Amino acid sequence: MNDNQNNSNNMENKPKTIIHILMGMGISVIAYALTIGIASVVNTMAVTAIMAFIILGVFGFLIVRFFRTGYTAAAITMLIFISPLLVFLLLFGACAIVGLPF
Amino acid sequence: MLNETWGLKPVLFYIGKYPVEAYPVFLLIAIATGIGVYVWQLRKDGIRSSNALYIAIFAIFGGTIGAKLPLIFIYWEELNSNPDSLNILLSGRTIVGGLIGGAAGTFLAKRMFGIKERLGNQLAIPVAIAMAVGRIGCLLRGCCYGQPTTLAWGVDFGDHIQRHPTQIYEIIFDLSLVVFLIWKKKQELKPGELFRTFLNSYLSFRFLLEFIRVEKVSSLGLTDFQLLCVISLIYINRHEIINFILRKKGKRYERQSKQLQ
Repeated sequence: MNDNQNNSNNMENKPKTIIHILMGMGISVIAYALTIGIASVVNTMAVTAIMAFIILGVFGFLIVRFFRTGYTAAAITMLIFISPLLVFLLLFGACAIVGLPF
Repeated sequence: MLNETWGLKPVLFYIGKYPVEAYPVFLLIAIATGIGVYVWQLRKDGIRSSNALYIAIFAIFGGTIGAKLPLIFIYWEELNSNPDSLNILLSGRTIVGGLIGGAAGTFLAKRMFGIKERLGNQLAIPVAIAMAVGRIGCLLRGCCYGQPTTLAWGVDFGDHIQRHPTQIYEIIFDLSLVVFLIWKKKQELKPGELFRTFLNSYLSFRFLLEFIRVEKVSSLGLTDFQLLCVISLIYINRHEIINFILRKKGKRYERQSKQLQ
Protein backbone atom coordinates (compact mmCIF):
# COMPACT_ATOMS: atom_id res chain seq x y z
CA MET A 1 0.00 0.00 0.00
CA ASN A 2 2.73 2.44 1.09
CA ASP A 3 4.91 1.48 -1.88
CA ASN A 4 2.04 2.25 -4.24
CA GLN A 5 1.52 5.65 -2.60
CA ASN A 6 5.24 6.45 -2.87
CA ASN A 7 5.29 5.47 -6.53
CA SER A 8 2.31 7.67 -7.37
CA ASN A 9 3.90 10.59 -5.42
CA ASN A 10 7.16 10.13 -7.38
CA MET A 11 5.24 10.10 -10.67
CA GLU A 12 3.53 13.38 -9.67
CA ASN A 13 6.77 15.01 -8.50
CA LYS A 14 8.78 14.19 -11.65
CA PRO A 15 6.80 16.40 -14.08
CA LYS A 16 6.86 19.20 -11.46
CA THR A 17 10.65 19.00 -11.23
CA ILE A 18 10.95 19.16 -15.03
CA ILE A 19 8.63 22.20 -15.11
CA HIS A 20 10.74 23.85 -12.39
CA ILE A 21 13.95 23.16 -14.34
CA LEU A 22 12.37 24.62 -17.48
CA MET A 23 11.23 27.63 -15.49
CA GLY A 24 14.79 28.18 -14.20
CA MET A 25 16.19 27.83 -17.72
CA GLY A 26 13.58 30.21 -19.11
CA ILE A 27 14.31 32.91 -16.54
CA SER A 28 18.07 32.52 -17.12
CA VAL A 29 17.64 32.86 -20.91
CA ILE A 30 15.41 35.94 -20.44
CA ALA A 31 18.03 37.51 -18.12
CA TYR A 32 20.88 36.85 -20.58
CA ALA A 33 18.77 38.09 -23.54
CA LEU A 34 17.81 41.21 -21.60
CA THR A 35 21.47 41.96 -20.83
CA ILE A 36 22.53 41.44 -24.45
CA GLY A 37 19.57 43.56 -25.61
CA ILE A 38 20.50 46.41 -23.28
CA ALA A 39 24.15 46.19 -24.41
CA SER A 40 23.12 46.52 -28.05
CA VAL A 41 20.72 49.44 -27.42
CA VAL A 42 22.76 51.44 -24.89
CA ASN A 43 26.10 52.54 -26.32
CA THR A 44 27.83 53.54 -23.12
CA MET A 45 29.59 50.64 -21.41
CA ALA A 46 29.27 52.06 -17.87
CA VAL A 47 25.45 52.33 -18.12
CA THR A 48 25.25 48.83 -19.66
CA ALA A 49 27.32 47.47 -16.78
CA ILE A 50 25.04 49.07 -14.18
CA MET A 51 21.96 47.60 -15.91
CA ALA A 52 23.65 44.19 -16.05
CA PHE A 53 24.42 44.37 -12.34
CA ILE A 54 20.80 45.24 -11.55
CA ILE A 55 19.70 42.15 -13.53
CA LEU A 56 22.34 40.10 -11.67
CA GLY A 57 20.99 41.37 -8.33
CA VAL A 58 17.40 40.48 -9.27
CA PHE A 59 18.66 37.08 -10.42
CA GLY A 60 20.29 36.47 -7.02
CA PHE A 61 17.09 37.53 -5.26
CA LEU A 62 15.03 35.11 -7.40
CA ILE A 63 17.39 32.21 -6.69
CA VAL A 64 17.00 32.63 -2.92
CA ARG A 65 13.25 33.23 -3.31
CA PHE A 66 12.89 29.96 -5.25
CA PHE A 67 14.97 28.07 -2.69
CA ARG A 68 12.74 29.32 0.11
CA THR A 69 9.43 28.67 -1.68
CA GLY A 70 10.29 25.07 -2.59
CA TYR A 71 11.22 25.59 -6.25
CA THR A 72 14.62 24.05 -5.52
CA ALA A 73 15.14 22.62 -9.03
CA ALA A 74 14.50 26.04 -10.60
CA ALA A 75 16.91 27.71 -8.15
CA ILE A 76 19.67 25.15 -8.80
CA THR A 77 19.17 25.48 -12.59
CA MET A 78 19.48 29.26 -12.33
CA LEU A 79 22.62 28.91 -10.19
CA ILE A 80 24.17 26.59 -12.81
CA PHE A 81 23.31 29.08 -15.59
CA ILE A 82 24.69 32.12 -13.78
CA SER A 83 27.86 30.49 -12.35
CA PRO A 84 29.97 30.91 -15.55
CA LEU A 85 29.17 34.63 -15.64
CA LEU A 86 29.98 35.05 -11.94
CA VAL A 87 33.25 33.12 -12.33
CA PHE A 88 34.15 35.21 -15.38
CA LEU A 89 33.39 38.47 -13.57
CA LEU A 90 35.43 37.38 -10.55
CA LEU A 91 38.43 35.79 -12.24
CA PHE A 92 39.09 37.60 -15.52
CA GLY A 93 42.12 39.95 -15.72
CA ALA A 94 43.48 41.45 -12.52
CA CYS A 95 42.52 43.87 -9.73
CA ALA A 96 43.73 46.87 -11.72
CA ILE A 97 41.83 47.86 -14.83
CA VAL A 98 43.79 46.69 -17.88
CA GLY A 99 44.72 49.52 -20.26
CA LEU A 100 44.41 52.30 -17.69
CA PRO A 101 47.34 53.88 -15.84
CA PHE A 102 46.22 52.73 -12.36
CA MET B 1 46.21 40.95 -23.41
CA LEU B 2 48.51 39.68 -20.67
CA ASN B 3 51.86 41.45 -20.30
CA GLU B 4 54.21 38.66 -19.30
CA THR B 5 57.07 41.01 -18.39
CA TRP B 6 55.01 42.60 -15.59
CA GLY B 7 54.62 40.92 -12.19
CA LEU B 8 56.64 38.28 -10.37
CA LYS B 9 55.18 35.30 -12.24
CA PRO B 10 52.05 36.24 -14.19
CA VAL B 11 51.89 32.86 -15.96
CA LEU B 12 52.22 29.76 -13.79
CA PHE B 13 52.61 27.27 -16.64
CA TYR B 14 51.44 26.50 -20.16
CA ILE B 15 49.01 23.85 -21.30
CA GLY B 16 50.08 23.49 -24.90
CA LYS B 17 50.02 27.05 -26.24
CA TYR B 18 47.63 28.33 -23.59
CA PRO B 19 49.02 30.18 -20.56
CA VAL B 20 47.59 29.40 -17.13
CA GLU B 21 47.60 32.78 -15.40
CA ALA B 22 48.51 33.08 -11.72
CA TYR B 23 45.84 35.64 -10.82
CA PRO B 24 42.67 33.67 -11.72
CA VAL B 25 44.19 30.45 -10.34
CA PHE B 26 44.87 32.02 -6.95
CA LEU B 27 41.53 33.82 -6.93
CA LEU B 28 39.79 30.51 -7.60
CA ILE B 29 41.80 28.87 -4.79
CA ALA B 30 40.87 31.84 -2.55
CA ILE B 31 37.13 31.47 -3.26
CA ALA B 32 37.26 27.69 -2.79
CA THR B 33 39.23 28.08 0.46
CA GLY B 34 36.80 30.73 1.73
CA ILE B 35 33.75 28.56 1.00
CA GLY B 36 35.47 25.49 2.52
CA VAL B 37 36.41 27.29 5.74
CA TYR B 38 32.89 28.82 5.96
CA VAL B 39 31.28 25.35 5.73
CA TRP B 40 33.78 24.04 8.30
CA GLN B 41 32.99 26.95 10.66
CA LEU B 42 29.24 26.29 10.32
CA ARG B 43 29.70 22.59 11.10
CA LYS B 44 32.03 23.34 14.01
CA ASP B 45 29.48 25.75 15.52
CA GLY B 46 26.61 23.30 14.91
CA ILE B 47 24.73 25.59 12.49
CA ARG B 48 22.64 23.56 10.06
CA SER B 49 20.17 26.25 9.02
CA SER B 50 19.49 26.72 5.30
CA ASN B 51 19.67 30.46 5.95
CA ALA B 52 23.47 30.06 5.90
CA LEU B 53 23.20 29.12 2.19
CA TYR B 54 20.94 32.08 1.40
CA ILE B 55 23.29 34.47 3.16
CA ALA B 56 26.27 32.98 1.25
CA ILE B 57 24.45 33.38 -2.11
CA PHE B 58 23.58 37.01 -1.38
CA ALA B 59 27.12 37.68 -0.12
CA ILE B 60 28.65 36.25 -3.34
CA PHE B 61 26.25 38.17 -5.62
CA GLY B 62 26.62 41.37 -3.59
CA GLY B 63 30.39 40.93 -3.40
CA THR B 64 30.69 40.45 -7.18
CA ILE B 65 28.61 43.54 -7.93
CA GLY B 66 30.29 45.56 -5.17
CA ALA B 67 33.77 44.64 -6.42
CA LYS B 68 33.02 46.11 -9.84
CA LEU B 69 30.64 49.00 -9.14
CA PRO B 70 33.10 51.49 -7.54
CA LEU B 71 35.48 51.12 -10.52
CA ILE B 72 32.66 51.95 -12.95
CA PHE B 73 32.04 55.24 -11.16
CA ILE B 74 35.75 55.99 -10.68
CA TYR B 75 36.59 55.34 -14.37
CA TRP B 76 33.23 56.49 -15.83
CA GLU B 77 34.78 58.68 -18.56
CA GLU B 78 37.47 56.15 -19.52
CA LEU B 79 34.92 53.32 -19.73
CA ASN B 80 32.62 55.27 -22.01
CA SER B 81 35.37 56.55 -24.30
CA ASN B 82 37.61 53.49 -24.64
CA PRO B 83 36.87 51.22 -27.64
CA ASP B 84 38.09 48.17 -25.69
CA SER B 85 35.78 48.95 -22.78
CA LEU B 86 34.37 45.40 -22.35
CA ASN B 87 37.88 44.12 -21.66
CA ILE B 88 38.45 47.03 -19.29
CA LEU B 89 35.15 46.43 -17.52
CA LEU B 90 35.75 42.73 -17.01
CA SER B 91 39.30 43.18 -15.78
CA GLY B 92 38.99 45.57 -12.82
CA ARG B 93 37.78 44.80 -9.30
CA THR B 94 38.32 46.02 -5.74
CA ILE B 95 38.23 44.05 -2.50
CA VAL B 96 36.95 47.08 -0.53
CA GLY B 97 33.91 47.28 -2.81
CA GLY B 98 33.56 43.50 -2.66
CA LEU B 99 33.45 43.54 1.14
CA ILE B 100 30.95 46.40 1.25
CA GLY B 101 28.83 44.75 -1.49
CA GLY B 102 28.92 41.40 0.31
CA ALA B 103 27.89 43.01 3.60
CA ALA B 104 25.14 45.00 1.87
CA GLY B 105 23.97 41.80 0.13
CA THR B 106 23.60 39.90 3.41
CA PHE B 107 21.88 42.91 5.00
CA LEU B 108 19.37 43.01 2.12
CA ALA B 109 18.84 39.23 2.27
CA LYS B 110 18.01 39.46 5.96
CA ARG B 111 15.61 42.35 5.45
CA MET B 112 13.83 40.83 2.43
CA PHE B 113 13.50 37.30 3.76
CA GLY B 114 13.12 38.11 7.45
CA ILE B 115 16.25 36.17 8.45
CA LYS B 116 17.08 36.80 12.10
CA GLU B 117 20.26 34.72 12.34
CA ARG B 118 23.60 36.53 12.45
CA LEU B 119 26.44 34.55 10.89
CA GLY B 120 29.15 37.23 11.00
CA ASN B 121 31.10 35.18 13.56
CA GLN B 122 31.27 32.31 11.06
CA LEU B 123 32.01 34.53 8.01
CA ALA B 124 34.89 36.69 9.26
CA ILE B 125 37.68 34.08 9.35
CA PRO B 126 36.90 32.55 5.89
CA VAL B 127 36.85 36.00 4.26
CA ALA B 128 40.19 36.98 5.85
CA ILE B 129 41.83 33.70 4.76
CA ALA B 130 40.43 34.06 1.21
CA MET B 131 41.77 37.61 0.99
CA ALA B 132 45.28 36.47 2.02
CA VAL B 133 45.27 33.74 -0.65
CA GLY B 134 43.86 36.12 -3.28
CA ARG B 135 46.68 38.61 -2.65
CA ILE B 136 49.24 35.96 -3.67
CA GLY B 137 47.60 36.18 -7.12
CA CYS B 138 47.97 39.99 -7.04
CA LEU B 139 51.65 39.65 -6.12
CA LEU B 140 52.39 37.20 -8.93
CA ARG B 141 50.31 39.16 -11.47
CA GLY B 142 51.80 42.51 -10.39
CA CYS B 143 48.64 44.46 -9.60
CA CYS B 144 47.86 46.43 -6.39
CA TYR B 145 51.53 47.43 -6.07
CA GLY B 146 53.01 50.24 -4.00
CA GLN B 147 54.94 53.44 -4.60
CA PRO B 148 58.72 53.46 -5.25
CA THR B 149 60.86 52.82 -2.18
CA THR B 150 64.54 52.58 -1.23
CA LEU B 151 63.82 49.99 1.47
CA ALA B 152 65.72 46.69 1.25
CA TRP B 153 62.56 44.66 0.65
CA GLY B 154 61.38 46.73 -2.33
CA VAL B 155 60.23 44.61 -5.27
CA ASP B 156 60.75 45.25 -8.99
CA PHE B 157 57.52 44.34 -10.79
CA GLY B 158 58.99 44.85 -14.26
CA ASP B 159 59.71 48.58 -14.66
CA HIS B 160 63.15 48.41 -12.92
CA ILE B 161 61.80 50.47 -10.01
CA GLN B 162 61.88 49.06 -6.47
CA ARG B 163 58.36 49.36 -5.09
CA HIS B 164 56.58 48.68 -1.79
CA PRO B 165 55.27 45.10 -2.01
CA THR B 166 51.88 46.19 -0.67
CA GLN B 167 50.46 42.78 -1.56
CA ILE B 168 52.90 41.14 0.90
CA TYR B 169 52.06 43.74 3.56
CA GLU B 170 48.41 42.85 3.12
CA ILE B 171 49.03 39.08 3.22
CA ILE B 172 50.92 39.52 6.52
CA PHE B 173 48.12 41.71 7.88
CA ASP B 174 45.38 39.29 6.76
CA LEU B 175 47.12 36.29 8.32
CA SER B 176 47.71 38.19 11.58
CA LEU B 177 44.05 39.15 11.52
CA VAL B 178 43.08 35.48 11.07
CA VAL B 179 45.13 34.55 14.17
CA PHE B 180 43.53 37.41 16.14
CA LEU B 181 40.01 36.47 14.99
CA ILE B 182 40.55 32.80 15.93
CA TRP B 183 41.67 33.93 19.39
CA LYS B 184 38.74 36.37 19.69
CA LYS B 185 36.24 33.68 18.61
CA LYS B 186 37.22 31.64 21.67
CA GLN B 187 36.12 34.55 23.92
CA GLU B 188 32.49 35.38 24.60
CA LEU B 189 31.09 37.14 21.54
CA LYS B 190 27.86 38.82 20.52
CA PRO B 191 26.37 37.44 17.28
CA GLY B 192 28.02 39.13 14.28
CA GLU B 193 30.66 40.86 16.40
CA LEU B 194 33.58 39.08 14.72
CA PHE B 195 32.71 40.34 11.22
CA ARG B 196 32.42 43.85 12.58
CA THR B 197 35.87 43.56 14.15
CA PHE B 198 37.19 42.20 10.85
CA LEU B 199 35.68 45.05 8.81
CA ASN B 200 36.92 47.70 11.26
CA SER B 201 40.45 46.24 11.22
CA TYR B 202 40.72 45.71 7.47
CA LEU B 203 39.18 49.04 6.42
CA SER B 204 41.45 50.95 8.85
CA PHE B 205 44.50 49.05 7.56
CA ARG B 206 43.49 49.63 3.94
CA PHE B 207 42.99 53.35 4.61
CA LEU B 208 46.62 53.57 5.78
CA LEU B 209 47.96 51.26 3.06
CA GLU B 210 46.48 53.48 0.35
CA PHE B 211 49.05 56.18 1.24
CA ILE B 212 51.84 53.96 -0.16
CA ARG B 213 49.84 52.41 -3.01
CA VAL B 214 49.68 53.72 -6.56
CA GLU B 215 46.10 54.98 -6.82
CA LYS B 216 44.33 57.96 -8.35
CA VAL B 217 43.85 60.74 -5.76
CA SER B 218 40.31 62.09 -6.04
CA SER B 219 39.32 64.64 -3.37
CA LEU B 220 40.56 65.90 0.01
CA GLY B 221 43.96 64.43 -0.90
CA LEU B 222 42.50 60.94 -0.49
CA THR B 223 41.97 58.15 -3.00
CA ASP B 224 38.45 56.94 -3.80
CA PHE B 225 39.12 53.75 -1.85
CA GLN B 226 40.17 55.77 1.21
CA LEU B 227 36.93 57.75 0.99
CA LEU B 228 35.01 54.45 0.71
CA CYS B 229 36.86 53.15 3.80
CA VAL B 230 36.03 56.29 5.81
CA ILE B 231 32.32 56.23 4.84
CA SER B 232 32.10 52.51 5.63
CA LEU B 233 33.87 52.91 8.98
CA ILE B 234 31.51 55.74 9.98
CA TYR B 235 28.49 53.61 8.98
CA ILE B 236 29.71 50.49 10.81
CA ASN B 237 30.42 52.45 14.01
CA ARG B 238 27.48 54.87 13.74
CA HIS B 239 25.93 53.81 17.07
CA GLU B 240 29.21 54.27 18.96
CA ILE B 241 29.77 57.67 17.31
CA ILE B 242 26.23 58.85 18.18
CA ASN B 243 26.60 57.55 21.77
CA PHE B 244 29.96 59.33 22.10
CA ILE B 245 28.49 62.64 20.87
CA LEU B 246 25.44 62.31 23.13
CA ARG B 247 27.61 61.48 26.16
CA LYS B 248 29.77 64.54 25.50
CA LYS B 249 26.68 66.71 25.14
CA GLY B 250 25.23 65.22 28.35
CA LYS B 251 28.44 65.98 30.27
CA ARG B 252 28.46 69.56 28.99
CA TYR B 253 24.80 69.96 30.01
CA GLU B 254 25.58 68.57 33.49
CA ARG B 255 28.50 71.02 33.88
CA GLN B 256 26.35 73.96 32.78
CA SER B 257 23.52 73.07 35.15
CA LYS B 258 26.02 72.72 38.07
CA GLN B 259 27.44 76.18 37.26
CA LEU B 260 23.92 77.65 37.29
CA GLN B 261 23.21 76.09 40.70
